Amino acid sequence: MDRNIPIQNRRTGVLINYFALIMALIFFELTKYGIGLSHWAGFTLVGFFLFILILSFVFVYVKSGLWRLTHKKTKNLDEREIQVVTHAIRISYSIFAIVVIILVYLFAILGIGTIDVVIAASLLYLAHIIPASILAWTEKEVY
Amino acid sequence: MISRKLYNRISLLRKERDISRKDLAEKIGVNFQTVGYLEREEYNPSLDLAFKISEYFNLPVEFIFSTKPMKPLSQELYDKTKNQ
Repeated sequence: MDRNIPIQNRRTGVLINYFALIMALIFFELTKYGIGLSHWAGFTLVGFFLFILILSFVFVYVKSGLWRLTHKKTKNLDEREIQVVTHAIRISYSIFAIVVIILVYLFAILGIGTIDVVIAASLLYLAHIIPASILAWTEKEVY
Repeated sequence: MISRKLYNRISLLRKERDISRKDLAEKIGVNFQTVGYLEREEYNPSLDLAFKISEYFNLPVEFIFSTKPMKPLSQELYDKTKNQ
């Protein structure tokens, strides 16, 4: 807990985490609809990207303490932490709203099936992860 | 609202009294990272926190915080003795 994770490593971790999430989702949907990949190959790739997702999640959000910081009760934060977490949550709300709107319109206009439980779970994960990602991207010191 | 930058002598006072960031943070009730941000003048404390810091060091708030860059203490001391 006393080792500062350099900002460059955190940013790389955030990018890897989002990339893994998107790739896992794409391969899951492709495999579900039987486009291009066999079931076995598709789910192996989904598993691979899920592994990367978990690994980067632990490195960027759990080890750095950012997950705990963004999920702590306000009474357990000091005034600067309240300020940065509130700011991150405010930005996250806009980002999340835009992502959801794009996704809903994409599914409605293109008629590519329904928003299934996996996409819903990914959105839930995203909602929790965006504030921590913003802090991982911007904070100078993270322990 | 963009607030003015506040300059302070926290780092100097802490080192002078040989206190770690963690100890100071505990005494004033903040996370030790916040002490780092305060020392680097990257975060302006609330009035309450500024008073807590001044009470801890037993010095007036205006001696620790300023809206203008602060002179080194040695310079201030020299100016004072020169004027006396």
